Amino acid sequence: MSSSRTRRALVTATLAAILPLAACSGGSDDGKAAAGGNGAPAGGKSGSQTFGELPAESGTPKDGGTIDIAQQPGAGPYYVLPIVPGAFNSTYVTYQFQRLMYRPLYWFPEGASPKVNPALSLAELPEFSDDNKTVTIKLRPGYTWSDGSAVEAGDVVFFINLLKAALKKNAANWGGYTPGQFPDNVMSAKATSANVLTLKLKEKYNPEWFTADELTSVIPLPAKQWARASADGPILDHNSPKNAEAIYTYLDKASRDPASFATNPLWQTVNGPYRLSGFDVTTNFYSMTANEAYTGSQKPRIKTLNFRPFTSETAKFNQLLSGNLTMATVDQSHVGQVSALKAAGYNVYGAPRMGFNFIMLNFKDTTDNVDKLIGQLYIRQALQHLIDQPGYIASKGMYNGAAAESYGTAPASSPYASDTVATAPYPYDPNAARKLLEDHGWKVVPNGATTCERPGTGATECGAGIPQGQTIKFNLFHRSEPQLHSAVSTAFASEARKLGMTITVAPKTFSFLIQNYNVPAAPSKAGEWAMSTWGGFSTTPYPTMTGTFDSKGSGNVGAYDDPKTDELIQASVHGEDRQAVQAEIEHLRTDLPVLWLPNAHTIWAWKNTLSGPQDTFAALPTTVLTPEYWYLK
Amino acid sequence: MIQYVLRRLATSAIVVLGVSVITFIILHGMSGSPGRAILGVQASAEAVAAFNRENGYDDSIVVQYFSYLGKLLHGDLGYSYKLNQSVNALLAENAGRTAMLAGVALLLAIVIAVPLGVFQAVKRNSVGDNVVTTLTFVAYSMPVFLFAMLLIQVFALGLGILPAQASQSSSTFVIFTEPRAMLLPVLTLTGVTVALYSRYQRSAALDQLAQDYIRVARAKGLSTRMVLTRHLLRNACLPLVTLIGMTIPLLLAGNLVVESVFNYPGLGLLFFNSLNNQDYPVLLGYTLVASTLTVLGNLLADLLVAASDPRTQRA
Repeated sequence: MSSSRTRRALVTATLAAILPLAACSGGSDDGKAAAGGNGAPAGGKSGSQTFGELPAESGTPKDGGTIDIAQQPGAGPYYVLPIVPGAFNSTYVTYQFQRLMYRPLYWFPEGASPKVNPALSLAELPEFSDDNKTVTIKLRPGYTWSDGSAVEAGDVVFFINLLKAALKKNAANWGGYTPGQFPDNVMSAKATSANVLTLKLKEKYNPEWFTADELTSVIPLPAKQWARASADGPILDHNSPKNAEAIYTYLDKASRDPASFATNPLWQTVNGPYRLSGFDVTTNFYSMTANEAYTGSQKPRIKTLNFRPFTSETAKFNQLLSGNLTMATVDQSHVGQVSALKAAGYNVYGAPRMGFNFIMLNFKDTTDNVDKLIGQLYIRQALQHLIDQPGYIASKGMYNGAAAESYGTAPASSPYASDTVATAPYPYDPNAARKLLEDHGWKVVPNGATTCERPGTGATECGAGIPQGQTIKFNLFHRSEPQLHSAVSTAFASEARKLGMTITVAPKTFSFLIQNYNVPAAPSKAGEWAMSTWGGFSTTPYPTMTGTFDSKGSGNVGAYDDPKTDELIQASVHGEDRQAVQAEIEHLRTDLPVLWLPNAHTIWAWKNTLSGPQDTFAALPTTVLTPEYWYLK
Repeated sequence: MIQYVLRRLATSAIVVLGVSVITFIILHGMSGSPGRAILGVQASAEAVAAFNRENGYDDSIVVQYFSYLGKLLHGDLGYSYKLNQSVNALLAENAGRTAMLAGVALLLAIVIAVPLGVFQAVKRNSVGDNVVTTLTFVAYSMPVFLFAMLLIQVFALGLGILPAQASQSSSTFVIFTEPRAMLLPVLTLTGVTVALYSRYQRSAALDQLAQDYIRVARAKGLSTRMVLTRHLLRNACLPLVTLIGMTIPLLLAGNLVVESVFNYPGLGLLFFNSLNNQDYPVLLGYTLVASTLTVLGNLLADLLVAASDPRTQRA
C-alpha cells in the first residue's frame, strides 16, 4: 500500500466502529419501507454510490458566525505536531484538526474524488527526472505563515529532517511509516531556492504513487519559528541530525501536553485557515478561530469552529434532532431517522469512505485443507457468488440502504478505477456457485455435506491437494460489534449451507481479530482461522495494495500469494505508467484475495443554513473538512 | 472493634491486590501485543516492536506486573498513550463530575426511597403500596438506557422544556450552576436507584414491623411516628446501609450508560473510550480504582453495621 498503512488501519478501526447497529439479522430485501416510508431503503435507490443528493450552493455568503461540529465519540485529538505517532493517529487528528492549521504539501481529495487537488496544494505538481529518481517541487508563491513569513522549501526540508529524527528514535513515532518507504527512500532533500525543493530518491518510483501516496504526507513546518531545542533557545540548523533530534524532542514533548495546546505560542504559528483558540483537556472540547492572515485561495468566512465532544452516537444524534449542532456524522444505526433530520432542517448526504470492505481469507490455514480449498480460484468465485451485496445493502437489518456495492480495492469515485469497479465480477448467483463446484468435480449436497468426487489438478477436477471425499468447511470470525458483522456473516453462512458448505460463524473483538487472526503478526495462530471480517481497510489516494496483498507485505493479513499481483504492485509503485494501479485493481477484483462486501456510506448531516461549494461537501465522506469555503446564509 | 477493623482492612488490601493481579493478567496476558492493538492491523512489525519496547510490553508478564506494582506503590497509575496524560490526572479530572452526579442522585434516592419503603411497609397491600410497587418494579426492570431515552424523548425532543444533553462545562459543580441541564441525568440515576432502594427498604421495614420490640413500643402507647422514627428506622436501615455501601462504587464507576446517553464526560465514559482505544494503562487504573471503591464501600457498610449491631463483629 503506501506509507500510510498504519493510518489506514487506525482509520479502519474507527470507521468500522461507526458501522450500523443492526436491529436484526435478516439478509434479504424485504422490500418494505425504511426511512421515509416510501418502500425504498433509507438511502434511496439500493446500491446507489451515494446516500441522498448534494444540495446546490445557495444563499448570499456573509462573513462571521460560529458553527458547531460534532467530534466522533472517543476520537478527540491529543497531539498537535504534524508528525503524529501511531498511537495518536487517526483521520480525525490529521484531517479535522491538524489540516485546518497546517496544510499538506499536496492536498486531497478533489471533491468526491480521492485524488490530489492541485488548487488546494501548496506546491505545483512535482516534476520527475533522472529515471524518476529526482523529484523537483516548486512551491506556489504567496503562501505565508500566520506571522507573515513565507512558506518556503526549507520548511519542507525541516519536516523531512524532523521526521527522520523521530523515526530514528522510534519506528512508532510516525503513524504513516512503512520501513523502506518515505522518508527512508529519500537519499537527500535540498532547498535549491526559497521555493524549489529537490529530492533525490534511492530508487526509481512511479511518479503517481510517489506524489499521491508519499508526498501527500509531507507537511511543511515553520522552520524559522520552530527549529529550537527549547522555548527560548536559538534557532538551530536542522540539517544536523543531532540538532534535528533535539528539536524533535522539544516539539514532541510540547505536543504531548493537551492542557497547553491552545496557549502554547508554538502552535499559534499556522499556515492553514484556522488556529486553535481553545482546548478543554477535561471534556475534549476544542475551538478554532479564523486565521486572519491566511493566504490560501479562500479566506475563511466563518469566524469560529466549535468541535464538540460526544460520549455516544445516541447523544450526538439527539443533539442533531434538537438542532444544537451545525454538522455531524450520522451513524448507520440512525439511518432510519434521516427523515426526521431533514424535517429538522438538515441536509443529509453520504458516500463510501476511501476504502473497501471484505471477508479476509487465510491462505495459510492448513486445518482440514482450508489452504488448498481457498487456494482454488473457482472456490473463491463460488463463495463470492453467495454474497448478495444488493440484498445486504437493502436489508434493514444490515445496511438499510446506506452502503455502496464494492468489488475491488478502490471506490468507484477513484480516478484510477475503471468504470466496472462497482460491477460485480461474480454477482450473487447460488446457481452459478453450484455449477462452479460441480464443474470442478464436487458432488453438491444441499444442506448436507458437499464432497470432492474427482480429485486431481485437471480443469474439471477439485484441484491440487484436495483429496477424494474432502468436504468444504470454514470458520468465519466476525467483529463482535456492531451487530451488522454478525448479520452479514450469518447470511453468508446460510447461503453456503444451502450448497452443502459449512461455515461456522463466531464473534471476536476487533482487537482480538487484528492481533491474533493476522498471519504476519501471529503466524503461530494461522491454523486457527479461515475467514474473518472486521470492517475493512481504508486506502490512500493512489490505491495500490503494496504491503497488503503482495506476497511479502507485512500487512498481508491472509498471506495471499500471487505472482501476477506482485508484478502489478511492483509496476504500481516503481513503474513508469501513472495509471498502472488500474491494472492492479482490475486483477485483484477478479482474483479475489478477499471476498468483497458492500462499502458502508459515511453520512453527514449539516444545517441548511450552512452552505458553500458543492465540492467541499462532497469531500465530507473522506472526513476531510474545508470550512474556509463555508458560510452561514 | 479495633481488631475487627484491622482484620477487615487487611482482607480488603488482599482483595485489591488480587484484583490488580487478575486484571493485569487479563488485560496483558490475553492480548497478543498491545502494540499491534494500538497501532493497527497494518502497522509494520518494526513500529509494533518499537512501541512494545518503549512501553515495556516486551518484558515478561511477571516483570511487567512488578514494574507496575512498584509504580503503584508510589501512587503512579501509569500514563495513557492514547490520551497523552497521566492516568492519575485523567481519573482525577473525571472523578469529580462523576462523583457529583452520583452523589446527588444517591442523596435524592435515599431521601425518597427510605420514607417510601417505610410507607409501603406500613400500608402493606393497600392501593398506594400496590401502585408504588408496580412503579418501582417497572423502573427497576427497565434498562437504564431505555429509561434515559424515554426522558429525553418526552422532555427534550417532545415537550422541548429540557436539554437533551447534560451541561458540557468541565466544572465539577455544574450540577449546581446549571441545574436545568443536569435534571434529566440526575432523574435517570435517581429513578433507578430509588426503585432498588425502596424495594429493599420495604422488605426490611416489614421484617422489623413483625418484631416484638415494635409491638412493645406500640403497647407503651408511643405514637406511630415515634415508633417508626425512633425504633423501626434504625434497624430497618441496616440492610439498606449495606446496599448503599455496595452501590456507591457502582454509581461512581458504573453510570456509564447515563454518561453515554446524556453526553456527560466522566469516569464511565473514560473507561468506555479506553476500552475502545485499547488504552491498557487507563483500563488498569480505572479497574483498580473501581475495585478499591467497591472494597471500601463494602468495608464502610460493614463497619457501620458493626457499629450499629456489635453481634456482627463476631460473625
